[in-house]
Amino acid sequence: MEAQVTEAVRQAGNLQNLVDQNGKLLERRPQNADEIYRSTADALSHEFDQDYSKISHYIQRKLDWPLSFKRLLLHHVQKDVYDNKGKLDNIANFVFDPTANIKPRRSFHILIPTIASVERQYGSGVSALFHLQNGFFFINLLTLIVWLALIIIPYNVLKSSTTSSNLTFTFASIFTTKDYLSESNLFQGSYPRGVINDKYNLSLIYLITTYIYFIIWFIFITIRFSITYKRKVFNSILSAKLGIGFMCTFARCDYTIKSDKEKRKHIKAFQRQFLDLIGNDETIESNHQNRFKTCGYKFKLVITSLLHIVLAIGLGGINWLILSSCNNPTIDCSGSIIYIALINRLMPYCIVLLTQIEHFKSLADKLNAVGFRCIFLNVSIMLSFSIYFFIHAPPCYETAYGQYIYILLLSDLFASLVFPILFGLLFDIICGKKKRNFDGINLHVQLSPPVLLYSQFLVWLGIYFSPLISIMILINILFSFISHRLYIYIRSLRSDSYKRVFIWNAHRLEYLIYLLAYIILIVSVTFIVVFTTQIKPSENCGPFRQLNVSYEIIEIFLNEYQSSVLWISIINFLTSPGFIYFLGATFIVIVYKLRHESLAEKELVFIRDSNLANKKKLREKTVKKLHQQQKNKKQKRKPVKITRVENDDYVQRDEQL
Amino acid sequence: MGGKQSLLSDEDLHDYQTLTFLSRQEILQVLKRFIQVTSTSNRHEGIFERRLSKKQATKLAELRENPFRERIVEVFSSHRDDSLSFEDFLDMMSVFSEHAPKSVKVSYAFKIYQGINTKHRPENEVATSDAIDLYDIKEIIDRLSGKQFNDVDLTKIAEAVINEVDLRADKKITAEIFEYFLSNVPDFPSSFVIKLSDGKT
Repeated sequence: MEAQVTEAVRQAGNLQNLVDQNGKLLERRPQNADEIYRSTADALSHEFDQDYSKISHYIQRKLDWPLSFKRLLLHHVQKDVYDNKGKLDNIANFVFDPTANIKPRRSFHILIPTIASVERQYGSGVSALFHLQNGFFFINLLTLIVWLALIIIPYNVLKSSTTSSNLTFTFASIFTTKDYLSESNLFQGSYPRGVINDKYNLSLIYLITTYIYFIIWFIFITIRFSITYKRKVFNSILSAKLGIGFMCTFARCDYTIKSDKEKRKHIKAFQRQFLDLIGNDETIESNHQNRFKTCGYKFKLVITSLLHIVLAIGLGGINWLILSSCNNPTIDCSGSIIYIALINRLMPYCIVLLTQIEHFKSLADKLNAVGFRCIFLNVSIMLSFSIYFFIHAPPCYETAYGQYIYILLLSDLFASLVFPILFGLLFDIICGKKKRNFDGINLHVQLSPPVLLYSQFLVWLGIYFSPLISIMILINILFSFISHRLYIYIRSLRSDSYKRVFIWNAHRLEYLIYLLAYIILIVSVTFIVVFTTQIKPSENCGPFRQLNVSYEIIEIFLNEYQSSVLWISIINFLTSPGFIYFLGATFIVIVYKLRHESLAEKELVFIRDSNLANKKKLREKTVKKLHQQQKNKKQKRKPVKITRVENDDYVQRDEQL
Repeated sequence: MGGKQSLLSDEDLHDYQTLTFLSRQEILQVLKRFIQVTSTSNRHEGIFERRLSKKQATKLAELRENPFRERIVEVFSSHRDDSLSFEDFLDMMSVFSEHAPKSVKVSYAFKIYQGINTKHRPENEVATSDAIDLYDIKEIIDRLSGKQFNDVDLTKIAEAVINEVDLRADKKITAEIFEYFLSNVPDFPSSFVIKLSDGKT
C-alpha cells in the first residue's frame, strides 16, 4: 500500500514537472506550441486514463498557465479523448460517476467572513475567540437536537393522551422558574416513570442520551484539542514564531479594498503590526537575555498560584456558609445564587488585574496563569455548591438543581451581553492610553475563553437535570458574540483605533482553551458518573423515581433482554461509566500519535526542501563542470587552429575528434 | 445581456466554465466589464483582439487601491507585454473570485510576490528564481506599509519575517515553504478576493 502511494506521489510529481516545463517552453518557443500542447495532452490522457472530467479538473486547478494556453490544451485533450472514446463511454462515465462534472462545493461559513476582518486587524488570537464561540455554538445545537429527538419529542407525542398540566405560562416564570416552568419539559423532575414505559422506555433512553451527549462533547473536544495540540507542537518544533510576520506580509493584505479611506486604515494597521514585529522580537530577545536572572521565577509562580488556589477554596467555603444559613439549598436561597453569579463572573476580572502585576517570562505563561486560575475558581465554587446540595438534598432535588443552574445561566446571559462592552471600554479608557500591553482587547483575549468555559461548565453540570438547558448556552454564545463584535466595532470608531495592540498567537490560545475545556469536561463527567451510580433518585421526581440509583435502569434492561451475549456486552460497554474514561484514554493516545505525526511532517518539510536544494546544487555543479570542460577544450583547440594553416590534415583529424 | 452573450459562442462559454471558477452569469459579467473598460481605446476591434494596457488596468476600480496592482497585471499578462486580453482578464477575475480554491490562490500569491522587487537591488544581486528573497519581502512590506519605513527598519522587519519560516537558513522562501505556511492560514482565501466592479465608481 505504501509503495503504491509513493508511486502515485512520484507520478504526480513527474506530471507536474512535465507540465511546468512545457508551460515555460510555450512562452519561450511559441513556434512549437502545437507540438507542446500535443505532448502535454498525451501525458494528461495517459495519466488520467483519458477521463475527460479528471483532466479538465487538473487543468483548471493544477495548471498555472494563462487561460488562453489552458484553453488550447483543453481542445487538444478533447480531440484526443473524443477520437479514442465513443460517446457511450461518456454516458457510462456519467452513470458510474455522476458527480464528475459537478463543480466543487462552496464552503459555507456563517461567522468566518465577519471574523476575517477582525483577524486582519487584531491578529489570529482575537479571531480564535470567535472561532471558539462558533464551534461551541454548533456542538450545543447538535446536542440540543439529540435531546429533542430522543427525549422531548417522543415524550410529548406519547404523553399527550395521558397527562396534562393545569398551569399557564407567565412571563415572570422565566426569571423565577416557579409554577409553569418548573413543571415543564425543561426540568428532569417533570418526566414521570411508568406513564409511557410500555411504549417508550423513557428512563433508559434518558440515561443513554446523557451518555451520548457527553460522548459527542468528548469527540468534539478531542478533535479540536488534537488539532491545536498538533499545531502547537509543530510550531514549537519549527521554533518558528509564525504569527504576525509571515501572516502580515503574505496573508493579511486585503485585496477586496476599493476605497481610499479603507486603504489608509489598512496601511495604518500594517504599520502597527510591522512595528509590533520588531517590538516583539526585541522583547523576546531581551527575555532570553534575562533568562538566567530570574532563578526564582518558577518558585514565585508556584507560590502565587497556590495563593490563588487557597483564595478559590476560601471563596468556595464562604459559599458553603451562605448555603448553610438557608433552610434548603434551593432557588429560594437567593444569597447563594447572587454570590455564585457575582464571584464566578466578576472575580476573573480581579484575577486578570492581579496577573498583570506579576512578572511573566512569556505571554504563554501569563495566558495559562489567567486561564487556570479562573477555571479553578469556577470549579471550586460550583463543587462547593454541588457537594452541599447533594448532602442536604431537598425533595425533588433533580428539578431544584436544574432550577439553580438555570438561574445561574440566566444571570450569566446578562453578564455576557453587558460585560464585554462595559469592561472592554472601561479598560480601554483606564489602561489603553498609557499601556498598550493591557487594554480592552487584551482583557478579552485573556478572559473570554474561561468565561465561556464557565457557561459551558454550568450546562455540563446541569444538562442531566435540565435537558433543555442547551438553549440557554446557545443564547449566551449569541449574546457574547454580539457583545464582543459590538465592542470591536465601537473601538474601531475611535480616532486611535489603529494604535498598536498586542498580537496574540491563536495556536497558543486555542490549545489552552481546549485543554481547559477538557479538564472541566472530566470534572463534569465525574460529577454525573458519581451522581448516576451513587446517589438515590428522589421518590416523586424524574424518570428514575423508585430506583436505588439511576444506573440501575441499565441493569434492569439487560436482565430483561438477555437474549444475545454480544448485544448485552455492547450495551454494557457503551453505558458503563468507565466508557467515558476509555474515551479519555483514547484521547491521550491520539495526542501521542499526533505528536509523532507532526514530527514526521516537519521531517518531510526538511527533506523536501533539502532535496530541492541538493538537486539545485548538483545541477549547478554539473553546469560548472561542463562549462569548465568546454573551456578546456577550447583552450586545447586554440594551438590547433594556428597549425591549421600549416597542416590541413591535422586540422581535419582534430575536427573529427 | 443577450448582446454580450453573442460575442462569445456557446463553446467559448462552455470552455471558460470548465477552466475557470466562475459561473456562466459571472463570465458574462466579466465580459461586460471588459467591454466597458476597453470601449474607449479598442472600440472597433473584436473581443479577442482588444487589450487592456497596464496603465488602464491599474486605474480600474478593482485594482486601483491594491498595492500590488502592477505586479498583478504582469502576472496575468499572457503575452508578457503587461497588457491584458479578455482571457487574461477573465483568468484574473477567476483566480480572485470567492470560489477559487485555496491552492490556486496560494499558487498565484507566490507568483505575485516572487520577484516583485526588480528595481531596488544591489547591482550584483539578481532576483532569485522560484523563491521569495529578502529584497522581495522588503518591497512587499514597503508597499503594504505605505512606504513609511526607512531602509534599516525595512531590513529588520524583512529579516524578522523570513526568520519565521527560514528552514534552511538561506534567507529565502521557496514555493513549497510558502505554500505550506500559507495553506495553514484559514482566512487567506477570503481576503485574496477581487470583486468585479459595476463601473460606476
